[in-house]
Amino acid sequence: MFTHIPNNQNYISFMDNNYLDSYYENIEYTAEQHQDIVNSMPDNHWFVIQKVKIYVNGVVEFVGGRFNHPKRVNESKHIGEYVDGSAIIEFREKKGDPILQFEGVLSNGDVVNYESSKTLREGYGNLSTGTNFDTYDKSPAVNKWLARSWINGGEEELFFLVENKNMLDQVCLYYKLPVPYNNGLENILNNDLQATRIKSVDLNREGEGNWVALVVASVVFKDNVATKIRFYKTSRWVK
Amino acid sequence: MAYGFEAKNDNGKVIINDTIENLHFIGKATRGSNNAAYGDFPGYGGSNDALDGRVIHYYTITCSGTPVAFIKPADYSRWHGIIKQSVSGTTWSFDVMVSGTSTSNPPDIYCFVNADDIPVPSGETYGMQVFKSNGSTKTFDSRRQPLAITGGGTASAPPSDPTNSSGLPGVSSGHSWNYSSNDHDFRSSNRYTAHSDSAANTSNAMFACSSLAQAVYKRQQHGYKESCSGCFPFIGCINCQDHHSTAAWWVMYRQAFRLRSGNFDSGWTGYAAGYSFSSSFESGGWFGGGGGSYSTGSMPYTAKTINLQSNAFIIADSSRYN
Repeated sequence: MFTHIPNNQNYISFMDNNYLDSYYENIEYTAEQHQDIVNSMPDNHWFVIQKVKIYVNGVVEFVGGRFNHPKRVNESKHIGEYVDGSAIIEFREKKGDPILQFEGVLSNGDVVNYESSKTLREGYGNLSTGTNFDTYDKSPAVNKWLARSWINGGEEELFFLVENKNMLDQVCLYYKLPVPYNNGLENILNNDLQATRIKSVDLNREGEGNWVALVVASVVFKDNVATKIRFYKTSRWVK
Repeated sequence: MAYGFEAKNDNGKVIINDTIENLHFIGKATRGSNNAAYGDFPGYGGSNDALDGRVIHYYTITCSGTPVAFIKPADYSRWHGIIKQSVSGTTWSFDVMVSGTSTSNPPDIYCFVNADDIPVPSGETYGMQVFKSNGSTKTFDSRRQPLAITGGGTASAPPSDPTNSSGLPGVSSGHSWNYSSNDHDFRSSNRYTAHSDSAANTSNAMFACSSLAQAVYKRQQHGYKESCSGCFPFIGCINCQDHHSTAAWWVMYRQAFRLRSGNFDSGWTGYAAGYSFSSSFESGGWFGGGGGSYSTGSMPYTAKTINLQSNAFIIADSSRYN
């Protein structure tokens, strides 16, 4: 799954032949047998649970994911790399923001800070704090701005909810930037947009069954100029 | 009374003699700063967010003796109450609460003290003074205007429940995770006890009445979901977490009063309020993952109403003292 992350062989992706499903046959197991199988899994392996690919200009810029191990069910690891090898990022907990309680630490020492928007906070708990980043040049095609990230002295990123592919196209048109998707991803955006969601949230306060799939893209700003559009594609294990 | 001075009104009631210490006007208290807040629940942005709001105006006056303070509203549609009266040396302080969040309509506070405690007006050497039989304690001094009561009586306590919505706000469970939609109207505009009084008007009337009753009530909602990182054949779901949330809205009330034409109303105004929200949720990176938690605001004391008593109210005509 990774090329540049040290000990990359320990990060197991869905299609790898030593992923979780490879330990089992299609039969019923007793609890003891199940535990024996879990115990046989190498301790240093991390199995991807949610895989994130960031697309820019139709190519993958970044690969990362959330990793777990059945032996350590309450422990997660969030790590990724830029495919060009320019940086590795690992996320760690950071309190402060009501919703986004993490920060990303890049291998060059830079820290990516996150701030949830007023819209996202309202969606989570009817919280009235926060802003929707109105000081930025925001595309009018977007209905819900979700978050902001920034590196001190570096790039800033405004995340927004992608409600359909046309909205994403309109955003790209507004900033005069290339669309982030390629033909394969375009097909998914047209036919199964929600499959790319990061998660689902009751963003519109409509109760369970009506949660909003958070399909996320972002506008990257450098020195207040939009430089690229990123699309965050999350994938999960499919039998 | 074998000797001395006694004055009675048309009904034969004594208004001046050597035993009754008359209250005399010593001036309006000086208004200082104010504090406006709670037009809505702080930190909350959903349904039933609106509250009555309140402004606390701070006043002082210097005098010996204990002043009796009358509130002369500038805006008679609002609710008023003196929620704190204190003294340091001879400087008396009054915290006067007015409903709403506009600071542009502060009331006047007319202060009266016993005749024996009034400052002697400089340069006024003529008039009439009445003393007790001890010859030293003054009961009346014509150089200061005595308090003329035009109305009053017993103000019944306001309704025990200060909230406009029917039924007390309570606690409910079984909501979806992060459910936080307030369904209770915490405003108090409809919650008062009216007292008919012909002296009550909305032009010159002022009143004195202690704000005794206090109340605090909250609405609380518990939500829940179970969330798992992923579910796999044979292994089942892994990294499953219970996600709980609690949302609570609370208001603390103080008794407040309102003058209407022909009525003196005993009601409520919100003094403080809060929105408490706590949630455990997925966090950790790219908007999903591990487990985080968030809480904001504080919870109130246990819901209750205290000091729900009847108390005396006095109405007077402020125009006599302008």
